[in-house]
Amino acid sequence: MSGVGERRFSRDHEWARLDGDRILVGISDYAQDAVGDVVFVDLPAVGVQVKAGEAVAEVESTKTVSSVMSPLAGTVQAINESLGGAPEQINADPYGAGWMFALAVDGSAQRTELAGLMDEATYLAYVDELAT
Amino acid sequence: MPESPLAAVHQRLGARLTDFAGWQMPLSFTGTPDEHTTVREQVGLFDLCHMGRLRLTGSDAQSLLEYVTPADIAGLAQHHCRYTVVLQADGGIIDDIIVTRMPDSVFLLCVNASNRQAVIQHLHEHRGERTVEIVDISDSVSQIAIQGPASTGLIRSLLGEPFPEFMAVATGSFNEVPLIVSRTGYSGELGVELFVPTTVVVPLWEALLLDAVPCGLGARDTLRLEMGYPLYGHELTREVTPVEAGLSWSVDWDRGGYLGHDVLHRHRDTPTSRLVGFVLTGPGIPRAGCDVLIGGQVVGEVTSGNMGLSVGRGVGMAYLPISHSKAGTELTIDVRGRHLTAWVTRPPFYLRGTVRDATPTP
Repeated sequence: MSGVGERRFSRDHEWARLDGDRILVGISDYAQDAVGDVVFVDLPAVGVQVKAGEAVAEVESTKTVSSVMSPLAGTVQAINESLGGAPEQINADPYGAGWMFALAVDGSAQRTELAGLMDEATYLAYVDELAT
Repeated sequence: MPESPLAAVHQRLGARLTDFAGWQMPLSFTGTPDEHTTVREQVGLFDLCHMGRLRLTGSDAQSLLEYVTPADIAGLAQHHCRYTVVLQADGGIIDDIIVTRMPDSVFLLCVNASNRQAVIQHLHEHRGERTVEIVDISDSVSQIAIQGPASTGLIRSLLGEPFPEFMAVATGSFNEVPLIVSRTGYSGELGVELFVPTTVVVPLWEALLLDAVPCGLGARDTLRLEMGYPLYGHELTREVTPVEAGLSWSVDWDRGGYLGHDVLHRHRDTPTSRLVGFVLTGPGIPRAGCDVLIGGQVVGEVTSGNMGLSVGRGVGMAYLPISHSKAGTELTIDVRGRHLTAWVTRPPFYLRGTVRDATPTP
């Protein structure tokens, strides 16, 4: 598993994308819009083991707070420190500068999990259904 | 659900809407943090049509207001405004309102949307034999706030009027229709609230939009919180008196003859509980409902909390036992299981508000 992969999505509105030896994780455009203007982000500690579906981070807007579930199991290899001073990047660029944390690539079970997430077209159809 | 006469304009501007006190109102237009900063630094517009507006007329209007509020109404000069509370017999707060004395024994009351009917009912219940007419003018008169340090130029150019002093009103006009320009607000910044016939509120709002940024209730809430202004339903309820709520300054301690008088004096002389402000020492955001602890014991609950957008820290308010309410007291706020440290602080949290600035000369 290497190189830059396509974004895949969880039912909880997180995305995951292979990026070299790590998998970047963030929240979807739909999720950032639903949360509203993000003013504070609480990220997991580097080195912690997380399970798929586990609440590992929080995004807070002026209106509400939302848990972020890890879409995959793994070890947190890095967090996006720049969100501390500029949490609004989650709204402005949820799939780029607004990434939240990175998991270390660690084998075939994780690869199966990643493949099991929705591709973008499926996710967008899923979101459309939620809206109706 | 009732909606503002400006609803179609808000929709055109792509406002994000929220349900507030049964009204569908704008939560934000471009985003709460942007709108908040615009009001602190430039000028923003708020649609306040959801608020209740009452007119009291008749020779006993003052007497009725002196019975249901603890404020000095007799000493309120013509064309001046006073912030006060409507009290029930046990001193509990039915609403917090602004009373403005107009000419000819007319009083204008601005009340909270959620309490409009309760205030009207309370006034009727206690009017007794007084000669007073209570008219709900909320539909025929609309309300807009223009808030921010740059509001003076905008108001002068559009309404052609002298800018009133703090807590006073002037008469302006728009398209030759008279309107009331009131130097009041809820942002902590220099600004006014306009009371305008609903028939002209849309063209007036459109004209204001050319020079000011529309703001939603989200920014209205973050702005008022940074000033430590209470919000009915959060800091103010029927369960607390204005003394406990830190509103002793608004009480006329020299007079009697109003509902709740004895309870207010008792709370002043032997206080047990007091609304305080607090600031987090580190990252995090306190929210309404979070427990407040001292020495591991729960001593209170957060009534309002959010990120102080101009302060850069989480700020909030809570009722605490009087023994723990001094500025500098260390608190622990339980934010979803995380224990965050805070200090009791006397509001405002934001110290550079321009609300009381002298009226600038043109």
